[in-house]
Amino acid sequence: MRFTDFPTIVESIKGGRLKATFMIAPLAMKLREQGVPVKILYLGHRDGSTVMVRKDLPAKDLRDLRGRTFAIPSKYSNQNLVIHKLMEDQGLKSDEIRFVEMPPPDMPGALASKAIDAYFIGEPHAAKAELDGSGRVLYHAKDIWPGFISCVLVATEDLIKERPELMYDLVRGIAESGEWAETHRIDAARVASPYFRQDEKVVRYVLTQPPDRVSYRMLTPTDQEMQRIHDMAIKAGILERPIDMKDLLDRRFIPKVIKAAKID
Amino acid sequence: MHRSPIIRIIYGVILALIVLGTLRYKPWQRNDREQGGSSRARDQLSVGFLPVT
Repeated sequence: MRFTDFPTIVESIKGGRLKATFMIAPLAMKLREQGVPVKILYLGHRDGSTVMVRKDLPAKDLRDLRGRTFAIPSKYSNQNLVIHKLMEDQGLKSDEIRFVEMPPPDMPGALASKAIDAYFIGEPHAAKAELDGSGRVLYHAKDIWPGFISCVLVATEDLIKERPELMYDLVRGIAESGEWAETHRIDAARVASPYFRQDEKVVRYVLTQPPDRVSYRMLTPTDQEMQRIHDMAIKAGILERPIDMKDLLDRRFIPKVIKAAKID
Repeated sequence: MHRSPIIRIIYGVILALIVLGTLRYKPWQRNDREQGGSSRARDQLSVGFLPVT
């Protein structure tokens, strides 16, 4: 089921219409904090997020974006947490850049029309601005946080309890298709572009320029990295109370050996 | 029995159509297909995603 924004995904999960989904990691933690019985089973990918700025701006780092408008997918996104950490590292206060939440597909158009000055989002919505000439890359997520985590696979506890065999199949499918995509990037662009509803050349660009722009390996979420996101979310006031990682993570469906899927 | 050549030709054509239809639609595989299809339908799971990496 394709969505265009995260609040609708949350409502679908809470309403019981959706029992498994990809969603941004801190949002999954927020759901858990709110008492929604969900678990993180796996990652969707690593890296693959990019900070884009308007091409006509001479910005070299975040200090040059003081007073500018910066779009993020959600305050519950790791993009939000990481950009605030980077601001802190560069000596900026959080109110020196104006942040707005925006559905990812709207960001390239907003940048082109100069409604926003920069944004941080998962691909292909960054590459799109790069290819249409309205934006340029300020940072790749992998350069700020190697192995950056954006979206995680979440399932409800009742689905996990009722259909564990389906969870094994789902997680194995993600792992094996990711392994295939790593070695068949051009073919992966062809297969994936209809799901993204994007021109194949945009997806091909994402998967090849540079080749490590997004990774589909090492998708097991560790306690340490999820704890790091959690601690940043607490510090940012996104989470109100601590969550135990053992309540949040369920890694038993991850295959020990990952072979590339056979995809034509 | 029908000895008329026309009736025998009609019977022959009908028989040929039955044989060709049987070979075309393979009814002996139908139960397997239907069982597989319903089994797959039962295992279908909707997984939400936003088209971002």
